[in-house]
Amino acid sequence: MVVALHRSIDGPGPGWPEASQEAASRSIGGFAFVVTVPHASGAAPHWQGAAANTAEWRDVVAGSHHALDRGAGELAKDMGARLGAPVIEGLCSRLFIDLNRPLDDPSVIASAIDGRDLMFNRAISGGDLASRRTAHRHYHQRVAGVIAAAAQPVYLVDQHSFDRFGPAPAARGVDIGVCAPGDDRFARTLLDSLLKRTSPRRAEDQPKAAARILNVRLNEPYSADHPGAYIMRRHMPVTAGGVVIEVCDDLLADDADVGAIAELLSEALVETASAMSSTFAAGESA
Amino acid sequence: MTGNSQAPTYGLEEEQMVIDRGTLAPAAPHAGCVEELKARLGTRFALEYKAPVIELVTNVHSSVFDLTEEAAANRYEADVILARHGYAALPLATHPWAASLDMPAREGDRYRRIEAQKGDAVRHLAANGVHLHVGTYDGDEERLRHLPKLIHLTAIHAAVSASSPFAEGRDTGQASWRLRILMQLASSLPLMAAGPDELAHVYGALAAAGGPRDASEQWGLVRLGAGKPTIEFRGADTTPSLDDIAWLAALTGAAVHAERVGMLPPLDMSASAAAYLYAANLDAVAAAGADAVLIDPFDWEARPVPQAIDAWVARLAPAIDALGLADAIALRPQQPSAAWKEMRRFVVKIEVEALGRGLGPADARHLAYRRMIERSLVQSSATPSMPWARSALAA
Repeated sequence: MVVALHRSIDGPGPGWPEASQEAASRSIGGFAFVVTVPHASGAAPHWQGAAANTAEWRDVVAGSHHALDRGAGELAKDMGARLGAPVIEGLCSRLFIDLNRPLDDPSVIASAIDGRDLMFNRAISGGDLASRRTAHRHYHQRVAGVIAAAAQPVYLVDQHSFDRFGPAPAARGVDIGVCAPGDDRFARTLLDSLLKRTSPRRAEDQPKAAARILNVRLNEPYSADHPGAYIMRRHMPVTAGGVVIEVCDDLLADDADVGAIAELLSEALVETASAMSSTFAAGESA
Repeated sequence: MTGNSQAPTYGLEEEQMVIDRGTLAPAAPHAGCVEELKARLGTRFALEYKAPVIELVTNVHSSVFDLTEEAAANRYEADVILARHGYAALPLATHPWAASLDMPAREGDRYRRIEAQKGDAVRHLAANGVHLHVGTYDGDEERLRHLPKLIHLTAIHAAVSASSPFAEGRDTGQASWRLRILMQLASSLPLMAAGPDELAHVYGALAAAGGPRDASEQWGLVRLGAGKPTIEFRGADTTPSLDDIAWLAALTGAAVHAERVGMLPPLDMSASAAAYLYAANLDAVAAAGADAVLIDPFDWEARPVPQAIDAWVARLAPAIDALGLADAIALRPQQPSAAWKEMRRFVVKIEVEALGRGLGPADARHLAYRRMIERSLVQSSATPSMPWARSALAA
């Protein structure tokens, strides 16, 4: 009658359907990747039927970049397939609970976006609040569990996407951003690898995913100390290294572009991890 | 201090009876509903012996606040799904009018074997409890050694949560009818064997004689977690509110920790006397809940439940401090819940009003039970108050 109650507190948590690629990570040359994509979903959580049926949610919020990182889930799954990496997807919109914030951060549940109040976050019942916070804990338990279960050193890739304009009227010039809070050696090495594989574009030109004409930059559109790097702050310390990757969502609008970006990032990630692992090995033997 | 000083972990299992939202009578959820519960809650959901009863299971936590929060999440998410299918989860330890003997049981060899052993005693078991697991990182030998002192917390669990005065369409005259049923079903005293070898030997002999096969079939009120490195406290009734869970878990975790590191004083009586007092205290609690007077096995003092809890808190002060549990312990109300008395007052009030409006006695009583159930559903949906979570969000 009791189902495996006493797992490790850091083990995978029950309660969410397992993500499709959330299996054991595969070794690539002595290391492995784990890909997190906390903002993959724009869905309301399963207990939020009423909120999902409101005009506010349906017409204003759902599907917007406020609700999810558009295209990031598809990109992460493609990368996961190329890297043999488990992909740990968030399963509800960050507007209900932001998995990339600490639970005690006031912005973990947004009260407003663009100055507009989110009524479904204004009066939250005790049970709803408990469910949201429990979902947050389950996600991080899953991440910790997958990392702990890996047989090789793990590199953590936290995948996101951003809106071309964001809050400003001017278009952002960055197409792919890399950053990492704290130890940024992996991010900087990845940046070098990506710069080697891409050509920058002029501001007036359009980015081209297949041709790899892309502006790749460090700590853009968000700096490494952005408060929303909680996935990395929490989980990177037990990995060999990690990086937050931000891809502009206009580059993820169709399967071909998603595939091209995934191929680019996967190549660079493998090269980076190989270089970092060699450095590790040299350092350990010294 | 001796022993491993690692902080304990906590897990919770809660049994709830599914009822029809219209009739408020017990109802076995249909297959589609069960599938949705399984899909959404995963291993947080299980089915129980009686067909209308489900079990909600938390993950393992190092924080009693996180534990309470997940228990509340389990209730909430299950309730949302059940509501879609026309059901609700009853947050009471007994249904006030259901005939438990006639309530269908689930299929399964294990259930049929237990029914063959226990007969109608187990068929009465439409009673829902909360089981607190405290993880100890210890093997069977160490946990067995801790049991003789820790079992005495069971009376506190049962007293604080006692909330099942009604069953089978009548006032049972008890604060916790569920506890009374369990005391009829099996020895409430756990098997406190001298060591793992003796434990295995006893279970082997019992199984050979057609009795319980392992700890999971020893339906006492406290036991070693079946297949888990825990001590399982099974005395508490399922209650409309989850607000007591955090401090009760903290008190229990502190007791387990204190015993593991040698901070709990010795019992001031023989093992036989302690075992007898354990049963006598439970007997008192079944009748009077938090109004019971308990004999403290550490000092022989007779104390009403609130003072008995004070004595435990004082005894465990170093462990509470060491584990940082003071915030949780502070949630303890000055007067423990008297939910069973409140329920009784509420039912009588509604019944008298209904009689005054001309309803017959049976209809008036049924109406009162319905109102009591409806009130418990509202209470459950508003729980827990979670001041810790709300203050974090408001910061």
